[in-house]
Amino acid sequence: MNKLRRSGNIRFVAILAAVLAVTFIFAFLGLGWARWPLSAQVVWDVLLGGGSPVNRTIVLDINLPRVIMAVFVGAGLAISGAVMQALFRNPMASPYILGVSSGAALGAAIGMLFTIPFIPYLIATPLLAFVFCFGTMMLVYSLSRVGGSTHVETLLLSGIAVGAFISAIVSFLTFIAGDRMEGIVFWSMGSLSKASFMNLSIVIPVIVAGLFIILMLSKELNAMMLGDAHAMDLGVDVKRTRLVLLIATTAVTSVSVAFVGVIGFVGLVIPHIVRMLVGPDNRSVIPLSIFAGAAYLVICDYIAHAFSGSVGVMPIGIITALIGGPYFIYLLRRRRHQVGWT
Amino acid sequence: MRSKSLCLLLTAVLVLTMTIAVLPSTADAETDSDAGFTVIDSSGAEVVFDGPAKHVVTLGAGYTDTVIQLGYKSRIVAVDKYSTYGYTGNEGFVGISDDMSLGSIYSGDEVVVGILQLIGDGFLEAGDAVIMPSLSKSTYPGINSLDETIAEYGCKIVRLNADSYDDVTDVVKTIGRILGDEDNKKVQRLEHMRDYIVETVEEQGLANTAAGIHISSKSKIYNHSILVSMIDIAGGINAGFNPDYTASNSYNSDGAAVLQMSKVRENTVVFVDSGYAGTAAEFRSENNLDCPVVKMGQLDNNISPSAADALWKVASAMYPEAFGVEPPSFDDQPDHTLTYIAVGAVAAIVLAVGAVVYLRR
Repeated sequence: MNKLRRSGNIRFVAILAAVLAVTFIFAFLGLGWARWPLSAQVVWDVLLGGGSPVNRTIVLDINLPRVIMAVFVGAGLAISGAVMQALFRNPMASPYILGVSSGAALGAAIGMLFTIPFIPYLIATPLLAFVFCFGTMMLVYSLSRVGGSTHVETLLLSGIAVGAFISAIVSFLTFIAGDRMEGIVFWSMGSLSKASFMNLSIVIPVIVAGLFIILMLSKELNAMMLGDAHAMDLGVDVKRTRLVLLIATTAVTSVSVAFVGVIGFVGLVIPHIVRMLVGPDNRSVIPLSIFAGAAYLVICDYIAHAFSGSVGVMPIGIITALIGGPYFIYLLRRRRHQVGWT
Repeated sequence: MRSKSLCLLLTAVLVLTMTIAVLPSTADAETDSDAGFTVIDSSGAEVVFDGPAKHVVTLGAGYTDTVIQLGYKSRIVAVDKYSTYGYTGNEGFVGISDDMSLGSIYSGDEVVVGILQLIGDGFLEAGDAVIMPSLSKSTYPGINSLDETIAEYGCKIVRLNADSYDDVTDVVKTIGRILGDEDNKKVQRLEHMRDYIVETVEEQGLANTAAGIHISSKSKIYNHSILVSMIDIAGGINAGFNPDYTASNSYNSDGAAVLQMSKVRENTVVFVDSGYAGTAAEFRSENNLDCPVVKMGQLDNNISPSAADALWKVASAMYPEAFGVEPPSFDDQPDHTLTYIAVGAVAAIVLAVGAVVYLRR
């Protein structure tokens, strides 16, 4: 048993090291992106405090916030996806399953189309996206409460229904947006280009706090995967734990979506890949998902910029979907136990 | 002695006359001044130049076309992706290759980074200009970060928008000023074309006897646009105006609405944007129209000196009998012909008299 546990730990550490290495490599490559790409030597010089003023601006003021945002948003969305899949006991669950992405899109659309009193226009869009994202989760949760308790199936169905309704409103607003339609459409594709150190000062603390809460509850999450009744037998306060986890994941998702738009397939695909590698134990899945999600989004950010010479910098949501979609189809075609779900 | 004095006097008169004749052309040269100047752009910012910009980056096909038509193509260092010859297919843009493209201003980062690199590599210096449209800071924060990013390098950012033909004229004048050529031929042509059409409409009592509808390739009808202002200048009525949508420049529509609007008034012309894939005849057929349809050119509803030709196209479409197919050729320089004739005649007389006096001595 000890040998098994030891080999499991070694495997975990090896995978973690590989993921971290990939993250650093692609983050470094991402720092060198420019209209005429900077060499590794130039990037290295800048990171060591040298380099020309122009290169320093490119690497430190433009590319670095974007790469850092990719790391934290990727980590946040991946861990949110892992939690949602465990909470709902559904491998198709993602951070957006409660319709929160539609809620965020609605908030962003309102922020872009209308002038809101007392809210400076520069923060209107992310602020409203966050508020509506969170509000959607609360709405879905309250709608799904029956007789003082919330069933997973009801939560899921409420999320789908509310999400569809809000999506229709967003479509209507896009239709009447006129000249500003483009802004709404681009926002909903997801983009890291608005990253700045100012935005990061809000994003990082919220995501880190959410990750911390989720990590602390990863053991309870294992119990909840066995079903509410079994979890209660094991001493887990199911109601409270579920609510705390929902709030934590929604906060992480909301703050991510507020500043980068809707980036799909990170929370859906990454937990599955991680389970294939380390098994279904959330005490391993949750922490590894953090780093794997960060790596995935950093790689996608690099790919989105790599083809900028021919098609321009693509919204990152396109890349995550182009890669994640076919891979998820591949996962679905395999037998369930092979994806590490049971 | 007397003949000598007469010769000297005649020579002095000749020199004085030639000096006076030269004065008009030197006055023109003085407008191309290297002195500093201030430009107030569409965002209200005061942009101070120490002298004409030696290099420019133009982020918009209209601005690029303006610089090209003013004769300063060689000063263009970089453009956006919509301003290359490969994208526009416009012969005037030959030489503006894809290598000069910095990408789309709507994605932000790539243009900002590209401009930084141009500065770092010495292609842009202090005093050079980036000409771009004024975009919403909340919707497009990326490109709007350009100000703080390049401020320390002394490059000037000038945001120029235009909602009407008169705005276009002002923008062309401003771009000319940035290049050191404010009172250029293109501005004069824009102004003369406008004046000519307004006068002709007034003289012939054509005002409000025709109407126009400006529709985009995506079935948007315009309440306000550069082209709509041309319809207005040409004395026409904007038949596409919808009072329910005054908050927006355009509104979504369909073929049925265009058909109905075209029937409200006689002499209605439909102007469709260049983005429409088919021909004017195909648009007419698709929408069951029996009024004239004109497909506009790529830069007709844009910020470009081509607006003068577009204005003529609009006027001649609405009033074909008053305005022919070809626009008049305006003399773009001030008329000094009489001055030159007078100077030449005086010089000839002085020379002839001088020669006669000398020979008879």
